[in-house]
Amino acid sequence: MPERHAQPIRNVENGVLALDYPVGLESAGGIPAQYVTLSRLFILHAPQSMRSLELAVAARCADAAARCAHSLQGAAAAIGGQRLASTAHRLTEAARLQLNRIEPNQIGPDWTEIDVARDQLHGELQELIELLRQTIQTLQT
Amino acid sequence: MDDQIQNANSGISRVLVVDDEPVARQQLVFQLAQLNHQVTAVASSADAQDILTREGSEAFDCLITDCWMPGSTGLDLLLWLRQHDLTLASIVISQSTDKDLIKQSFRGGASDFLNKPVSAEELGVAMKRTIQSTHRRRDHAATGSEVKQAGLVQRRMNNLGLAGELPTSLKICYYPHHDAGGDSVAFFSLDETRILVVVADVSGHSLKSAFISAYFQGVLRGMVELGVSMTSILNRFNRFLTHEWLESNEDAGTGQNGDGVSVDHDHDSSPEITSLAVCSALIDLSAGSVSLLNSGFPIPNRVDGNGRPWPCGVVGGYPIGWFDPNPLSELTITADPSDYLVLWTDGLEDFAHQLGIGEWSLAFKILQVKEKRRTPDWLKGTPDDVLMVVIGLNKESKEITRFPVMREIYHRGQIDQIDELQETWRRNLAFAFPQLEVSRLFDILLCTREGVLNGLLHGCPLPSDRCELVMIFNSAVEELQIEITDSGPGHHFDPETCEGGEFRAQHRGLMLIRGLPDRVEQNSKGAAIQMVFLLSPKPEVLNL
Repeated sequence: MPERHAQPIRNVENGVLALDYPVGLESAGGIPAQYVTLSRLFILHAPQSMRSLELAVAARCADAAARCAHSLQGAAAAIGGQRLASTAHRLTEAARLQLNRIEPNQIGPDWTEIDVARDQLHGELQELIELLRQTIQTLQT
Repeated sequence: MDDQIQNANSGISRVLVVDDEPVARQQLVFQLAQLNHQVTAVASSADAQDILTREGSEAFDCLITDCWMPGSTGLDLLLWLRQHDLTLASIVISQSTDKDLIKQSFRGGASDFLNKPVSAEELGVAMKRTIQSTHRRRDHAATGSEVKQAGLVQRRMNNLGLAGELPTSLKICYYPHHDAGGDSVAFFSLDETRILVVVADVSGHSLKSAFISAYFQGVLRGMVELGVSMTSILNRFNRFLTHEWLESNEDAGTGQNGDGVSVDHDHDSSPEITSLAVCSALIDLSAGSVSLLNSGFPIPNRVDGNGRPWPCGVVGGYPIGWFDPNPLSELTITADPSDYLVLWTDGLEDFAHQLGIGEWSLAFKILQVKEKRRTPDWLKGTPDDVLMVVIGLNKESKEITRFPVMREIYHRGQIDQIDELQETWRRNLAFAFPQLEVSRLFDILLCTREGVLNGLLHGCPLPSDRCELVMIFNSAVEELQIEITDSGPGHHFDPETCEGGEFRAQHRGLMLIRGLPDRVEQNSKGAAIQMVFLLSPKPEVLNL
């Protein structure tokens, strides 16, 4: 979504931070150099997890979708990506409910909700990666 | 950064980290390195199994695994580990707070469960505890063969055939759960008519517990032979545990008492805590008395010739080793030659609780076990060592014919719980008499329900009033006798002359009680009801 990147990224939305740097720094032991390492790992691996998630959702494979979203959630939480972690958690739970669905008519989240969460996750991941790049640049200068 | 293995060599303990997510994995590596641990990190359960096989699991002090990974999960890895090494303690980490997952982790053998993202502080605490657990397990494994040997010696000591030398009959039922434990029985024939029986239970199940148990038995035997009283012996051993033993125990770091200060007795794993629950019974056959000394042991029971249990006291004092001085609970009771004394360790009580039944139905079933050398399957799930001692008060009584199956005391407020009480009776009877016909069981439950309701409604007008239910099995005639006694004045009518329809409508319960059992007896105007049911098929005779 390049048009969104043209706008300044809003770090706080509905009270949730896209990137909570102090939390991320703490999880890196309070050492900025270690935070940079974790952020680079995230930038390197998260897009692949996102692609796997999109494929799983497209294939309506709830098990794989839940696992990929769960993985993204853990990675985002480790670097302080609160908003992405929250959306990934929502998608994980929705996919798990879908997985445990017994009756086709059972009330609960359906694939439409998962599709919406996936789109939201996609945008939030782009934002988070951009914020991380800016943070790394700041830390290195 | 290598995805498969990353090493951060900077510490004392070696930790294996398993997480498929690279950021979370690296985060753990950083945190553990800061805690001064040497870390090996891998991305899958399969890689972890490879390393544990190649390098040996003993090369690591702790395993930390993510739960949800593609392919083999963290729980699968724990199961694999349990088959290969029971000593390496592990921590499961997950973003999920699902209680089932946490339960599964602990069932799978995890020592701890942490939520992602893990803070450095909670990781540090969990690591310390888990590494200690690994080291303790390895210490125990190293002494495992010695513990087994100690356990064998204990079993032999508890089954010595010296009962034949005693002027009374003695039956010991001992089912150890651990390789070595602290349960012991010692008996002394002081003269032709006086017998001393001492039953003891040392806390813990380590080699140390076995040693303390053996030492106590040695001290006991020596001092009894010198004519020292049981009170003096127990006080002497109490001083030993509260002072000398502690001072000589290098591990003693916290909490143990010296001068009336209590300690934390709930954690069996605490290396510094050693206590001893003891009950001694000095039986004087000529005087017809039993002098009991209790120090933290479950309350012993006298069972009379009719099979009725009578608890000997209401408090059992505190275990030896808790306080100095330690007040002992003393009680002297009169006893008939047809009576017998029943003592059991708290292992029997814990097992009964686990089975959802009462102590008496479990004791009854244990007495029925014929083959003593092989533990029946149903007795293999005990959470602790089970020891029960039955002492007949005359030498001739080789066979127990009447034994309690249940004893319960209810108050008026329990009327609303009658369905739950009935379910308790059903569980106990089904456990004690698994072959009992359903229709007969139903009759017994129905009559018991009506009898207890009658006792609670009419016989317990005051909050302090009580209704007692006792079930006794008489193996000589295969009868189950049920006694329901309340503290009320009994009814105001004559049941023999009240046979009309109105009487039946008002006292349906009483009519049932008069119709279903094989025999019924009422005393104290109905405040004491005794019902007898013939059981079929016949349970086995109990041999003492």
